[in-house]
Amino acid sequence: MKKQIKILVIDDEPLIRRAFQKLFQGEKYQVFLAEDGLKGYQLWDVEKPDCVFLDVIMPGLNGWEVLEKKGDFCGAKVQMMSAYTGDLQDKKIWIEKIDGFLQKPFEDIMKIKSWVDGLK
Amino acid sequence: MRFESSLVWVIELSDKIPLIPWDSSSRPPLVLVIRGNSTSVYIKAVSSLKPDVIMTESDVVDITTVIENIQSQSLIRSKKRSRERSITQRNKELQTLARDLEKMVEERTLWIESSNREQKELIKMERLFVQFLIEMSIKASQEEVLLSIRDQFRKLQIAQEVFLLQGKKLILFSKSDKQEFNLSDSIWNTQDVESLSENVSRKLAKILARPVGRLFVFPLPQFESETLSGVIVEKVSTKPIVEADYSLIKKYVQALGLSIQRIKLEESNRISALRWEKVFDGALDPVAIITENYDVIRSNKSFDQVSGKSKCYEIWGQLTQPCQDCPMINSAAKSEVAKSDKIFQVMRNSVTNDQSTEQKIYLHRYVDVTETRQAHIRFIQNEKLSSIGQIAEQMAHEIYNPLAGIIALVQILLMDSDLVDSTRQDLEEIGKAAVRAQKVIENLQDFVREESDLTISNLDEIVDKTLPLLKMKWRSYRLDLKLDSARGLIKVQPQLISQVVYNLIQNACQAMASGQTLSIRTNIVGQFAQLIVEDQGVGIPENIKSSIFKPFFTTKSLGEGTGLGLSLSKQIAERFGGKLFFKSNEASGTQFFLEIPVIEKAN
Repeated sequence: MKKQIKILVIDDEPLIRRAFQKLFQGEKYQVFLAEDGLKGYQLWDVEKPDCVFLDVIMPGLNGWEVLEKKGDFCGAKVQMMSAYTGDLQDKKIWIEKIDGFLQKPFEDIMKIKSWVDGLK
Repeated sequence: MRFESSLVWVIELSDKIPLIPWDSSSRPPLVLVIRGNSTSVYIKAVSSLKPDVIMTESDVVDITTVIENIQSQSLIRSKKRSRERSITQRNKELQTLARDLEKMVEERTLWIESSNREQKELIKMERLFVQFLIEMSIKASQEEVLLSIRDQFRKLQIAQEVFLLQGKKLILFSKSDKQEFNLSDSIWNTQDVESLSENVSRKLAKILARPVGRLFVFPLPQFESETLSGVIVEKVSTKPIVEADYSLIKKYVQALGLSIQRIKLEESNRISALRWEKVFDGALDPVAIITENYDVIRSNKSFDQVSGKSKCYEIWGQLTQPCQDCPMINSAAKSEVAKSDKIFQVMRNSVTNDQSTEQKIYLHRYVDVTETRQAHIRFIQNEKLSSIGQIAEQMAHEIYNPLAGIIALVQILLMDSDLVDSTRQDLEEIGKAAVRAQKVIENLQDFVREESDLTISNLDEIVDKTLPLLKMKWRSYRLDLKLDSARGLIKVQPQLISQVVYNLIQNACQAMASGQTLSIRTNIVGQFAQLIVEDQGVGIPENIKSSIFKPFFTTKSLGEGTGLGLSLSKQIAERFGGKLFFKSNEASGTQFFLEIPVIEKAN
């Protein structure tokens, strides 16, 4: 049996979490959901997912703060998601470390699925 | 007759009578003794000898008695004589007294007369002095005053020359010119006039190259912060100079001093008044002094001068009645008044005392605050926009997320191939609705964002983003939309152009009745990207056509519009090198043209 792809979704919007869960149904994937930065960080530590979908603007720890707290990604590929298109100048160091930045709403959700599939 | 001093004189008609001693102080009495029975004739004859006593022989009983008789009679006579003498004496005394009294009266009369003359002389001098004072009171300069006193002195022969001393300068005025001499040092050191004179005499004689008479120096009252000054009076006289001379000169010089003070005060007043005039006239803002009834009493150069008009609102406001919001109406200290296309802050000060019963007078100052008002409103608008911006950002996140969630989930649901057609369609509609909602938020954010950098954009894009924001307005009308300027790129601040488009569409909608057509077209015309917003309204009236781009001009009622929309829109267009203009008539409605220069044409 192929190893399952572990996916961690950290987002405060219930529909987004639900959408990801539905998108990655099936045995191929194992989806972990977190509704805020802190829980997300904890899950990241424990489950060591293969990829992390991280929302930028959340109550409590925001996306950047989670990255900072985690420090070492432990081999996970990180995609940040946000409607936020503001000034990313001061986030340059993180932008370089992560693997992608998704604009919400997603243009084509299938592309995301393809990317995840391509991880393994 | 026989006589001896101590004997009684007897006319010897008888030898019988012996010698009897007599008081020698007077002649002895003459006793006539008549012998026998003399007849009266005989008596008369001998009585012509003037005897003291006439007796007959028969009478001469005792000559002693006779003598005593005579003696007593003689005593009586002597007493009488001494009384007479004393009376005479007293008479003499009285006469002397009378003469003395006469003399006194005479002297007194003389004295009164001379006194009268003196008085007349004094009165004459006083009259001359009063005339001099009157003359002094109308002189306008120090020079005139000094010449006047000198003439007076010469006329009355009180003195010969008058000098003015100012600090170390000695000035001599004559009818045609004045001579100035510099003294080597100040002569105000000593208080004693006498010694001063000697010192000055020598100096003066040297300077004038002539001998000088007696000099009297009088300091003049010091005016404000001037140097000390004084007057020197020169008196040349063959007679010795007395206290009276000095007093007289002093009196005149005192009057002079007062006159000079008056002149200096008048000059000082004149300068102050002139200064005030300069300030008043020089003020950049129009200033007017007006009555309660708006009559202009005095105004400065900046205030319009209109002949024949006297009321403030006639001249400044160019109206036939008081300006709306004039501070006079509400007795306010200041008020904003609109005049032509500007806004003024009219400040009002009371000039008269509140307690006075005269007509009240006020000072009005008209300060053009149009610029500041505009800046202020722009600032407020900016503030509003920025807070809206903050709200929008907040809202965006709150609304965006669920929308994004909806869209994502819908996409995923649509991936299911087992869907019934109707369900599939429903899901698609849900997705579209969510996308539309999301676009609105996006537009709103663009609209309120404070970007200061210029961006490359095009009119079509901007119109596209702006339309949804006004949907509630334009959906009552038929929309005729033809966008064809995408190939012309413009370098602008898109949200500002968006505001212009917003303003034009809003105005167009307000001009029309529902059901009419709102036409929005873009095109490239020459070097410009052009937007035409057209309405089918009744057009802009001729008489306001020239005013619609003026700031604060509005046809809307109070509170509805700031009147800044078109004015700012034009400014924005011009800021990017473009134009905003219109064509309008009653028949076909109004077309607004916005033209922005194209930087390059996209392929």
